[in-house]
Amino acid sequence: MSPGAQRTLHDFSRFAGNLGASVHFEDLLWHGVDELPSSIRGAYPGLTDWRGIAALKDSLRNYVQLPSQARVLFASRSAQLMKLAATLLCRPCRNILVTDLGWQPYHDILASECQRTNRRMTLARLHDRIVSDQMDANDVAEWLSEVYQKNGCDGLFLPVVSNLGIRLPIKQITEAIVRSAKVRFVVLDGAQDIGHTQPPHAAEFADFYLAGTHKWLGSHLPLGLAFHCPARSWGPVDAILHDNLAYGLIDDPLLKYAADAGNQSGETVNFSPLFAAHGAVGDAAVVDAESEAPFAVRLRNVDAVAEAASSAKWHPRLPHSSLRGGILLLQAQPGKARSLSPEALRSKFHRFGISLTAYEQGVARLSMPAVALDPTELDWLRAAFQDVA
Amino acid sequence: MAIVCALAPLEAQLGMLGGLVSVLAGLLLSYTDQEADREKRFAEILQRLGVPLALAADRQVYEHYIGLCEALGRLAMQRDPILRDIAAMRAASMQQEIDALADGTILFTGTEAWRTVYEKLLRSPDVPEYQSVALVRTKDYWQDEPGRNSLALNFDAVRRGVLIERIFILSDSLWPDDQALPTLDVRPWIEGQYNFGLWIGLVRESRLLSEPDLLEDIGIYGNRAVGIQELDGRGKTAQFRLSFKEKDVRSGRAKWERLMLFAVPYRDLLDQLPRPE
Repeated sequence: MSPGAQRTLHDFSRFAGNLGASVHFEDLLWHGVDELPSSIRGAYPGLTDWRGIAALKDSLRNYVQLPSQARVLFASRSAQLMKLAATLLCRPCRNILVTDLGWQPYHDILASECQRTNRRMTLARLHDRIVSDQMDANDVAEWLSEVYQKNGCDGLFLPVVSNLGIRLPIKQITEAIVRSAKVRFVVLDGAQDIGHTQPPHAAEFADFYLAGTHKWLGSHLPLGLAFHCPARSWGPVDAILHDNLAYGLIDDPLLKYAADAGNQSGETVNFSPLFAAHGAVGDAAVVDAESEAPFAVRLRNVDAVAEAASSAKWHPRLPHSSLRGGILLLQAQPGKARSLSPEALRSKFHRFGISLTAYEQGVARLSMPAVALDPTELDWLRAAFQDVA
Repeated sequence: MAIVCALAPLEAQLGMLGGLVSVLAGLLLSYTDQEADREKRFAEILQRLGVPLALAADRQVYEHYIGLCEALGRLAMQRDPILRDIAAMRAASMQQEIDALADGTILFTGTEAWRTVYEKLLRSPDVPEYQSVALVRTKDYWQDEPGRNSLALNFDAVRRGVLIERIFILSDSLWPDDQALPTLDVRPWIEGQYNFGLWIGLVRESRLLSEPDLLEDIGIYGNRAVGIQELDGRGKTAQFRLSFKEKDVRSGRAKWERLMLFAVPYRDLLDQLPRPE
């Protein structure tokens, strides 16, 4: 959790404890600290720059450099936003292109809606072409465009960055597809994107972009986030969101509360993720302002850690440089690390102070920081790789 | 004849025998002709009987058949010439209507009657898609209560998963050539449908000057039926013809494909709008 998120959340908890049942709570929520009496304002320094939900939306828009008219949605659970995305895709589209890089639980939600509405999902198997055949960004865009056209697709659902670290060239893909075929709706999954990559932000090329603030932005508390940027998607997202809420197809108290501008949703809403997100996006904006290009730093870290891992009997599974992100996937060479369970592998690295995600067959996934790793840190990593291998 | 057979000379007996054979042959030929006539009449009777036999397998239609037969039987007993004249005219009209139905075509003059069938079609599980062409020449088009009810049916169908695509052919007064979008007379109505998830395309009527057969209000209900709507001068439905003939559905689809070449997706039009500052 980012330091700003911790500070904001801490003072929000104190505020809720002291004034949660008062009218000041709604004032704080919607209008920010400026609406509060000065005696209260001073008592919660962590909330000093909180200006209400609308201002949080502005901060997020500014952070990803989207135009001011881009719409923002919040939800307690990002899966609820995926349900909305599935409806948005399935109403006008007959055949939706997905890839094997997508997040399976999201594909399951889409598949369920496709089944209900008698729509098709076309799966493009891209992973091996990228990892084994080393396709580059242009190859990926052209190949996906071909698959889209050959299968008569008219909708698109892609991850911007896969959970295993492949960063898709969204701008090139959407442009290649639009050149040769008709597109009725585009949804992008930016869960691994926001706070990770650099502008131009993929949300610009989507009708609906869903993400969360709790991964790369570092707010820790789950908060679903969606942008719908182009004017063509404002009406459909608003209308279908309200229709789904009215018919109970989406059941998310925060989404309902925010969509109805604060009207009672009939269920207690947890607002704390909004405050954590506010602190986190504030921190991320500072990092962006102080560092030349955080994403470039992450990519350099990927190269450096891959090199350190190679020298310690680990095999980096790197895609072509044009498709890399700040996630590095490593596999242990045949030996003891390969036979470890994911839990045991994760635990072994934890002893070195390294947090990573582990999978079967000795596969480890590391997320790179936005500050350059120094030689001491790289030596430490190398030592950890050697020990665990 | 018996005396000749017994006492007459052989020649006479042979002559008599020949005569008998001729008579028998004549009788046989006559019998054969009568048999052919009988078979022909029998076949005709069977053919007439065959209709109710075929109908008997379809209980719903058979009951109507029996009802009509009984009513016509009672009608035949009426003697008043004026009543019989009226009845003859009405029966001829009914026969025409049933003929059309038997060929797979229904004509509706009342909007409500048509809407019931429209709803049945949109609710039918084997109609997963519905394409419609709306020829909009006045701002009042489909703005009355039946029109609003029909739109509500569309929205219900979309919720259930029916894919609806609609092309609006707009008169140039409703979508002036120098305007990116239609006028506010019809735009909110069109946009409401786009926003709900219908695929919407627009064509200016003037673009179809050389394709006059495309200037029609049609609805294609999956592969099942095609409907053509005729409007009065105020944009209200005057008549609606629904055909379940495969040939007509194919023809409706062919028109739809041709119209798609002219239609601009509403989504693309929204993209062309300048971004507000």
